Amino acid sequence: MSASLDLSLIVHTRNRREMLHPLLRSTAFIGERIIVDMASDDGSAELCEEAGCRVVRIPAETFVDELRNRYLPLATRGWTLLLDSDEYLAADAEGLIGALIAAAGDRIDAYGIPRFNYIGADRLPAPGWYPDHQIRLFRTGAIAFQKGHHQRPVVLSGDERLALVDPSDGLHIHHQNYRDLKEFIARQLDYALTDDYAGVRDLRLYLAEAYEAMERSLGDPERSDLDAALAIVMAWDRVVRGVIHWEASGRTTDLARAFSLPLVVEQGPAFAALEQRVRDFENSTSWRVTAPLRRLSAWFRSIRQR
Amino acid sequence: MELTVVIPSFGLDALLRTCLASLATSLQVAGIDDVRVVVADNGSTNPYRVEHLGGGRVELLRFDQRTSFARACNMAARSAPARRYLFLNNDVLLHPQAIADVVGTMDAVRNAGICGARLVFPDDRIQHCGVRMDDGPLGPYHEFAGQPTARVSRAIRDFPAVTGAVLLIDGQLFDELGGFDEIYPFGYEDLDLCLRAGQKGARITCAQAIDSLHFESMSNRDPGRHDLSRQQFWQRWKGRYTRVGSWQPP
Amino acid sequence: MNLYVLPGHGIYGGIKVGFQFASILATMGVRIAVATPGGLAPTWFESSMAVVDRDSSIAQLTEQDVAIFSLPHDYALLKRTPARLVFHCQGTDPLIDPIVDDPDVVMLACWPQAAAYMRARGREPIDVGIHVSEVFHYDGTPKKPAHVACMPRRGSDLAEACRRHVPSLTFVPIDNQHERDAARIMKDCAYFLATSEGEWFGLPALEAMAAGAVVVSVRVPTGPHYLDHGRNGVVADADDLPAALASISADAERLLRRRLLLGGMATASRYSLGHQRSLVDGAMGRGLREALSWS
Repeated sequence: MSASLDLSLIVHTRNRREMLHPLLRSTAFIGERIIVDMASDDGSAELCEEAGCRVVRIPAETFVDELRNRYLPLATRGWTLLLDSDEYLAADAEGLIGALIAAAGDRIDAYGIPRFNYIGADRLPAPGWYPDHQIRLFRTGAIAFQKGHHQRPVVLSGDERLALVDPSDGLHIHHQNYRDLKEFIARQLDYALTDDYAGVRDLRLYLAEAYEAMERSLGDPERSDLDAALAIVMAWDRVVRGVIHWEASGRTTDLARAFSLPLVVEQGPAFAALEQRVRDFENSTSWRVTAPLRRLSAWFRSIRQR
Repeated sequence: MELTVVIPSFGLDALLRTCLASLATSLQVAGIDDVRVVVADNGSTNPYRVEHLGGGRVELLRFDQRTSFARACNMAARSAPARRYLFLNNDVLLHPQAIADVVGTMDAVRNAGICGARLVFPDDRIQHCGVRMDDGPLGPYHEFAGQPTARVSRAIRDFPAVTGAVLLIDGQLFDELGGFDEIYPFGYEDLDLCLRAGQKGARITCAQAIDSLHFESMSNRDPGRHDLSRQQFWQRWKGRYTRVGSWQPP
Repeated sequence: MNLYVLPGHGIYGGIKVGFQFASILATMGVRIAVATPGGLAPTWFESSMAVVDRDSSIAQLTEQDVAIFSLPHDYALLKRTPARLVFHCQGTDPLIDPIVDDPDVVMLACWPQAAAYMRARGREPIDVGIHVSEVFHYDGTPKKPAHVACMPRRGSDLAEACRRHVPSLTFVPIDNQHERDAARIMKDCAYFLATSEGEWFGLPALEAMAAGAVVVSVRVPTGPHYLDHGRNGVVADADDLPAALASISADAERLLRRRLLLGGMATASRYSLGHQRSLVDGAMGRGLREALSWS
């Protein structure tokens, strides 16, 4: 452990024993490690104690972000690093963090650290998934979390005292998000069902976010099939949240008029070409010959009007 | 007086008794004590008697000569001035929570001057949940009429008009408008009242949470019964109302 | 009482925007009606607003009343009444300068360009936003990949040049139609060609975005702020517009078209009725409440 790094680590966990191994190994250099365990029954708390961490046992809660506020004061060192239980650091993290703390001087109170996100063995490079800066390294007491899932924490001294670590400079959080796509979908649904839906939010704003999720994905030239799948799921997630919010608001707006699915249907080029050929032939040939074609043309028109 | 309920009625004694009974329950559930109920006996062959109308506080205003719906309602309202008037047809059986719903909606919608009620036929299809103005020659029509009530949105929305079968109106607004216009012999006076109220900047809305039963046109089923009134309406309003949607067959 | 005074009821964007704004105020408990010549109501878009006769209503205005207007030419007439005045700025032109310079007239702005114009003259307007009618939002209508919606009234020469340059595309005019028919055309078409060089702000392009049409627009110096070339549409100088249309409609650009379409729908989805209501609600706390009549 490093005596020179004035740093505390806080991790909130519940039944993530398997994921905790890389976290514990990669943070061994941190002098004070506090694990807030939310009623795990898989031996997570014991594993952390064996690793020399201070474990605080509490009941399980839905909203971890708000919970964090309660336990941030446990940190006694000058700086705090927050990690989720499915995150870990690289082998050179100690030096990189030390450099950031030294560089902070009296100008910086918090750092946003870029994060690699993984589903299984696949890293997610698409915009929205990377660089995905997370405000996790901060002077102890300098930030506060907001209500809901994955809301951006507030830097209490102002955003001008927040610095974002350049992704090319090195330090990253490694986030083993999900084992696979199914787990990702299940988690999004859980977040959607348990999130805070205060007030009334225009349904169409959810739809705007759905379109943006799709558009962001298309904007990435290195987009993989997995990126596309995630974009579809996140777009779907916004639509589902809009419906949940509608229900939570007492169904006070007319959903049918307010909503349409984010899909645009194109007629295939073959259909349009055939339609044009029928039209050209009809215009150039006598009425007797084109009677059957007129019926065909009428059929095309009826298809259009449906 | 907080509320005066006006029920213009011709014959149909048993139906009127049932209407009054449902009204009494609905007023009780809504907690409205400060109320007068005025039945305008519009030339019934056998004049109504309070004793035969099921007891309760009912006042009768008798017209020996049958008069227009508009005049009957106006005179009944003037006989019992109140902060609000509720005009009710005798063929409407109010759900116990209907009045609470209508009053609550009127209170909740800012600057609402008139509030209607959601009405269904005996088979649970919509009879009325607000009146729209058609783009074409049909003009006013009941939005979603004939559709199963379960399929129709209950979102509170504004309308150019609501039916007079259940119509709650602010008393001051009613006086400002001079009541229903008595140029209408039968029909369209409620729409005219609403459109004139709109021109004064009042909002017209309709309660949607509770369905009450409306048998519709029990006393006069003559298909041409509205013709004269319709002509009056068009003369005054053709081209002068905004439109939303168009009538769709159920 | 509040009166939104309009010069007519014909097919002009400003008429619809006026009705929409009046309607939102009505839902906030404001007593308001729209005044048009002869009390005639527009028939080309949907509204539930009550309409009154303009001349008689203006003649009856008192100092308790407020007159809202958007056509600069109505300023002189309304200034002679005892009513308080509110200018609902939908476009900028030197004609509006005397209005902007009148400290007794409350300034409302629909678009950022209007707000910037007023600030340049030392006035701070109240932002009341604008919204796309619900009928324009895309509903799954199968799109014809080679169809272009356009408005021939606005820039017909440029539209014709585009049509000649890209004969593989079919141009579908929108002209003098109910907005639901305009919306149907836009939803049907893959593209919307905006050719009006005098169109400062322009709802049509935003409506086309909502309808899922890829917007190809001539560049206007003070053009719609919401148009973001390469993100939600294509913007080109007039001379380059035909080539830009040819380029974006090429087979090879299918992915880019899809991206522009989604970007457009995302943009248009933020101009919803609900969002404008929130804006106007917020505006009540920034001076709009005091500007209106509540009697």
